[in-house]
Amino acid sequence: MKDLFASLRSFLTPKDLASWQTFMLLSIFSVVMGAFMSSLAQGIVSSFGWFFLIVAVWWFVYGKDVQTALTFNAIFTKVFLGPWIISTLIVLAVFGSWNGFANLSGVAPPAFISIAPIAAIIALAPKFIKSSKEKTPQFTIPAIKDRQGMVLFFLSHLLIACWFQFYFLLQGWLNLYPSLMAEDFSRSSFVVRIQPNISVSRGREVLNAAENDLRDRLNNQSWSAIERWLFESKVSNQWIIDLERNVQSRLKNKLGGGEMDLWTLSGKVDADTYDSGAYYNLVLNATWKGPTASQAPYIVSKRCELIPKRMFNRRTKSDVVETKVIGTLKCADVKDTTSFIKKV
Amino acid sequence: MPPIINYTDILPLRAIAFQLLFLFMAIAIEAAVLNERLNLGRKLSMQYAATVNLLSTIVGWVLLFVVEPWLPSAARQLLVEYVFFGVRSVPPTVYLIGFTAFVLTFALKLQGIQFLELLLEKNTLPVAQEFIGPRKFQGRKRQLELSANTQPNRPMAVLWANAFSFVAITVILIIRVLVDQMNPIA
Repeated sequence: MKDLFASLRSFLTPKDLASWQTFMLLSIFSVVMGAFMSSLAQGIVSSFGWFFLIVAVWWFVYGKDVQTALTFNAIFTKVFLGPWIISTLIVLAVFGSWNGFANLSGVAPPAFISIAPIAAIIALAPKFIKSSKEKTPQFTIPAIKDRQGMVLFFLSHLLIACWFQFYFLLQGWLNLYPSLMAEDFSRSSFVVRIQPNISVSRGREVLNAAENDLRDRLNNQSWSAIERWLFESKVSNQWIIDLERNVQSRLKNKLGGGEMDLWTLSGKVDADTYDSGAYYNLVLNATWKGPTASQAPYIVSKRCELIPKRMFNRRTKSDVVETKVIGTLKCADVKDTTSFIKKV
Repeated sequence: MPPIINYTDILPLRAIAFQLLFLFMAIAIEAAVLNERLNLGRKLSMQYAATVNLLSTIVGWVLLFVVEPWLPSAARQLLVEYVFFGVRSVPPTVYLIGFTAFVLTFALKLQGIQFLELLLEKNTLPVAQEFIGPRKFQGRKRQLELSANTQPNRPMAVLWANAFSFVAITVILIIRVLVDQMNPIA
């Protein structure tokens, strides 16, 4: 432990006043000071802390040994990771917050997209600077022999930025159509899934919303009103159109509401097997009409029963017990979506 | 701001792999054609081909990102289907888009070479190219003919280069679709 501190100390002790250790210590000093300050001053001091940290790291990675250690042989050219490290720090300082860093929600897409171009600019910056004998760096136009390489270098970094943006485009699509996550992507030429597929189609959510809507409408209605409704539903399918509209308005504002246009509802009411009027069967089908791996729409189904229920109700100071028959809706949960899915 | 990244286990790795494959193919093919038709020398034609192909790839991506928010819903669904489930049906519009892409990349590459030469402060006419690199045995005679006749026609060369690389990429894509269709959908 003592050795560790000693080595850390000797590592961080400036050999020279103008060295990266000076800036690193300034950065640590800013962080320590910032910890004791009110939020406004803290913001200013922490941005100084970031600034010193970036300068220190910049200086550090361009040190001779570090530069060779961070340079790797790619196929065509050598890749120096230093600019990437600096650029990531800059992006974190500008865009980032450490909240929710693990699930990447603290860092906005523009941050990721700008890492590569900023790294390219950092790497190419020395070519624009002429160091003269007076020790003041001067702006200069890069030498003609360097320009071709610089163009290729910058363009390749822009291409990497495009890949990042494409990743975010995919995220946008999956947010728009979350049911896609239930599909098999193995035939795709673009994406791979790095974890096994555990997602389910949102058909279940759609059907649950439909069930809730139906329950709001039918529960505690008198049985005769329900039977009238059932009779009407056999004649016209207005009820399912209404149901679909209600479900869409229920789910539209939730995550993935954009795909609600692609779910259509259909349903059928049957009497029980003996047509005794004892209860009624209700089948709700949600059909996914969006893109699928099998190129065909599929149906998720939910089975429900409408059962009469006798309610006893005795008024105070009355000996007569009033009875009333109301309907209750019971639905089976769509437990495992895959077993309920049937291909059309 | 709503969470933007919900589906971290979906990565566009195949897209990157195919992109790199197509880029290397296109650069190699176009460099060969440019070298043959413009007598630029191997290194120079390689650099030109690499630059213009990278440029047109990036412009293509940017175009996609700009156009995508304005796509009608049906077109976006087709795009999503292509990206996530592979190509299975090709409506005529896609051919049209392919042809437009060909014309646009041709224009872009031609323009790109011009910009590049401006940037590199090069003469637009390749002179004294004989010194660059050993040339192939049978190339010499033809090259003499060419230099005796006219100066090389650059737009034609770029058009041929573009055509060759597009054909090569299309062939690979067709093979990919055919192989895909041979495996039945599970």
